[in-house]
Amino acid sequence: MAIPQPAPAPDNWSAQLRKGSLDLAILASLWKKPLYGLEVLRSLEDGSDLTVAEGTLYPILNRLRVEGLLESEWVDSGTGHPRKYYKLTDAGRRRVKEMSRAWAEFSDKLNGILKSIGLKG
Amino acid sequence: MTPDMKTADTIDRYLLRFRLALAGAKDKEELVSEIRSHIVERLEDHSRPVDEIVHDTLSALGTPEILATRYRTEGLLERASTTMSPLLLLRATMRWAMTGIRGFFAFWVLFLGYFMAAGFYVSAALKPFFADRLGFWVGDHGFGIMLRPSGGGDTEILGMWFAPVTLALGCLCIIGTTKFVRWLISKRRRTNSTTATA
Repeated sequence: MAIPQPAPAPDNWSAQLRKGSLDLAILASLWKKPLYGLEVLRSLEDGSDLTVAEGTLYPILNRLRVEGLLESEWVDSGTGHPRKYYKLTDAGRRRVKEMSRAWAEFSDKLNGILKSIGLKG
Repeated sequence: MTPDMKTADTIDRYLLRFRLALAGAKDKEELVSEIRSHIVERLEDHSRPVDEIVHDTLSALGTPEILATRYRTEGLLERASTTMSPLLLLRATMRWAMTGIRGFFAFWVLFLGYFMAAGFYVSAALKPFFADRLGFWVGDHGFGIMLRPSGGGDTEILGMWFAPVTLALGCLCIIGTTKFVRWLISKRRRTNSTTATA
């Protein structure tokens, strides 16, 4: 007999959803202009509900760079220390568009189902 | 904001441990410089005491060893997700296995898949030496590949095709296992490799 599994707590589900969208959020935050690590962090905090630990962000930025989606450059900040700026490569821009399209399609379909719930506000 | 001697020492010790934990990494100095730059950047917040900022920043980065492991795991899994090299996949899944149950699962799938493939290859190589005992046996006991069941009455049905068939099965095991584990790694990269804190 199958053992009934407890439903995942909404908080846990919400955290999983954030995890899954983090690559897209990081890449999208670099769409308009190059940013350095701390700016990416702040952009995610300000522009979305994503709070990312520094120890998580930098390895991801490095991986995206190795994947060829980002390129980096050290720039003298004028404050006495250089900053490492990240910018999207052409491949990175294409990937953001693909991911955004997939996200929008998925979101539209899900919203269609959720309409019946009729939640507002 | 300039940190006092004690705080500067804390930062230096953190970066030293990070550098040591990254031993052998290709971009070691670049990664250390970036983390140093991040800490310095955080120190420009003049609204809080320096030691508090340093404490919070280093806590958010995690211990130097954990931070280095995150870099290594991200890099290794990135390469492993496109490789056909069994050794690289084993290394990557072993490291992944240390971080959670999914990695542990991927490692064992890989290990068992390659172990079965090795079994097929070894039996193909040994067939000429144990022609009467090695084969694909069908009989009263059902069927089985490899050693002849005791008791007799079973028939070997592959004959001279035993070696080619076991070699093909070994290849299928290797390719199937590799592709499946690469898919697991790609899935992890898409959904779970990134760790956001809610």
